[in-house]
Amino acid sequence: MNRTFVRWTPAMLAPVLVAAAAIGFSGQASAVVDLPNKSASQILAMINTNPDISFSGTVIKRAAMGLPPMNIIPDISQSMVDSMSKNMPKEMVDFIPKASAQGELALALEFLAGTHKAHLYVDGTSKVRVQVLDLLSERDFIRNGADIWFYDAGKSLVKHSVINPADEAQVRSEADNFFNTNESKLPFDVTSPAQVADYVIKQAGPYATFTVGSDARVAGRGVYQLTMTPQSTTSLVRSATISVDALTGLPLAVAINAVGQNEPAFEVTFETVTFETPAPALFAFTPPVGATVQEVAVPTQQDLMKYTGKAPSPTDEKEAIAQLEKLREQGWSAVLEIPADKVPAQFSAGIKDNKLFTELTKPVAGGRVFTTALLNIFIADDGRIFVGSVTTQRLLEVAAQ
Amino acid sequence: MLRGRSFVGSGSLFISELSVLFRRRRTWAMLSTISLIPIFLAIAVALSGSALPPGEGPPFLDRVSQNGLFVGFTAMIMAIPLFLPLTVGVVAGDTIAGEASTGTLRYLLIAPVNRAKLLFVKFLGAAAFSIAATFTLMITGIIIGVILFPVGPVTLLSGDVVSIPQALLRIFLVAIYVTISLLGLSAIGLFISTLTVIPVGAMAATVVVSTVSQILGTLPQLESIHPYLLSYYWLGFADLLRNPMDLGSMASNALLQLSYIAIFGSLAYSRFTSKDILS
Repeated sequence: MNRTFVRWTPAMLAPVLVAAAAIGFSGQASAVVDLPNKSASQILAMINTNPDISFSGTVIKRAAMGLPPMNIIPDISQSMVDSMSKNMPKEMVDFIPKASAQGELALALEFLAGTHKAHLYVDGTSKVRVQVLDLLSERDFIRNGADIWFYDAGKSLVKHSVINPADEAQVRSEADNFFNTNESKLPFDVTSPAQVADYVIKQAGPYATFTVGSDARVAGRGVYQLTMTPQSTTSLVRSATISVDALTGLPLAVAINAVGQNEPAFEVTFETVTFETPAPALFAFTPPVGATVQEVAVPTQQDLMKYTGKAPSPTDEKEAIAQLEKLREQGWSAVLEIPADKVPAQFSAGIKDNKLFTELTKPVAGGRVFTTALLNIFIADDGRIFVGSVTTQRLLEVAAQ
Repeated sequence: MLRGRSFVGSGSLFISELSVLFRRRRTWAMLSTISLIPIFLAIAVALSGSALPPGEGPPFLDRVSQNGLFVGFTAMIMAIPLFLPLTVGVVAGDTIAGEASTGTLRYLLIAPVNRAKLLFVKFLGAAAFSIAATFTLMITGIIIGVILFPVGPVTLLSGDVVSIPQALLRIFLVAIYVTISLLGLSAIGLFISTLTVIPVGAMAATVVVSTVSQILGTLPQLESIHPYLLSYYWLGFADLLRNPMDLGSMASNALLQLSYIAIFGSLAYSRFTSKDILS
């Protein structure tokens, strides 16, 4: 009896030791940090004071937007979905994707759901490389000075654009000009980040409160946590927290919490970060042999006008400004209304029969709503669209007015 | 059937175990079948002639015809879910139960061989088979790739290109990675093998464990337990094909497999040392 007990001791101890090691490992990461105290405004002023920073790290994005439960498999065609539902036995019906999503739509849905991991390499403002780590695949976005590359390993596709330095300089000088002529009208001194931060917090006062959380650790570095809580009963946003690296001012984590949900609805966090200049070779990209290379022209101002059909007229601009002002007054309860005549025709025409649309939205009186944890959209039967980070209830009230 | 195992040192016990394992016809049959995976794959691609559009079929398959070095990677991806766990399950499930069913376990233990030492040597034997299996697959892949297709610098997942020696180093690391991935399953097989005297039962149960782990891994409702599943990092060897090379999942995988070895190794120890050997 006793001997048997002794012999089974290792079998009982091993799981405990493994669990203890796992917990100890994660406990180490969240060891208590104590940083010099700072006010909300001081933390805000720290952010991005040095845009010329170089670093590399691994970033995790988690989204729990509460999309309706469904099987949407990106990048398979609707005909494949249809043939699957015809051929599969009835018992398997739960496993058949309900609708397909392709191209930009698939990307958008992917962004709104699930977890993604990316490597990030930044050297100053003009050299950036983002590697989205997919399972057995990868998507790379590289900016190296004037060159912009996109590489999709799964499709073996390269997209390349060249920024015209003259264009960039022009945009910059226009912005500078606008800024310089209007600087004196601003109610704060722009050269002082502290004053800007004070102003932002003061202005936000009626709508939100800023609180400084306890010092924490993100990616092994001490961070200040600044939390903004909206003062609104109809807003879907419960709070938003930004974690700012105490030494460099780089935001290392952002989490947006939704009402009625414990885990953050959207979260981006550095898992690891080092503040060293990444190897220059990382930004020098040559399209691999065998990949399809597409040259994509950077859209110019003229192209953008072509897309919208016409240059904005003074009345359009006035309308837009009035609309914005209206939104600002409503604070967190803001609802954007898109009148039926402003909704692109192909959207309102095709959408009624679109399976993905019916799958993603649910019917309510007078239309359909698309519900996520942070944003609701009401598409009225009369063609109007209402968008807001507010409850469905409020959207319907605004629509009824 | 003592097979000259009156040696006391575990070194000679290990050598004897290896010679038994690799003299079995079954082991050679499994290794030859493994080598057929890249061979069939390469021949199929070579015969079809038409270039596959990117994104169709298993990952990397479209690149095989451009660069023969990809044969090994594609074959590895195809072999990981079922074939490699199946062969490892056969070897690990057979370790103790096999000896028990042929009646040799008794004799092994009459010789002054410590039971713990015997278990350890059996586990090492299963690990040696895992190494042999992954390297057989990779090396056959390289050879058939070189014969049938042009070979050149390899495009990594990140779109950067590395030279052939660099690519061979990464192929080597991928084989090591997959070997590590199979160690946890070997430990589970060893434990199951101590539970029964019917080797086929232990083999089947081990393969079932690997399959169940992979099925659980596809259920989004169980997302919270995914990182602890045996098969969680199995396809993570893709991280070795990025630029810069990401050794993070290699380390996490090793840690996870080590945990499985610790838990099921000690379970096997406890079970094996406290059980009555009747056959």
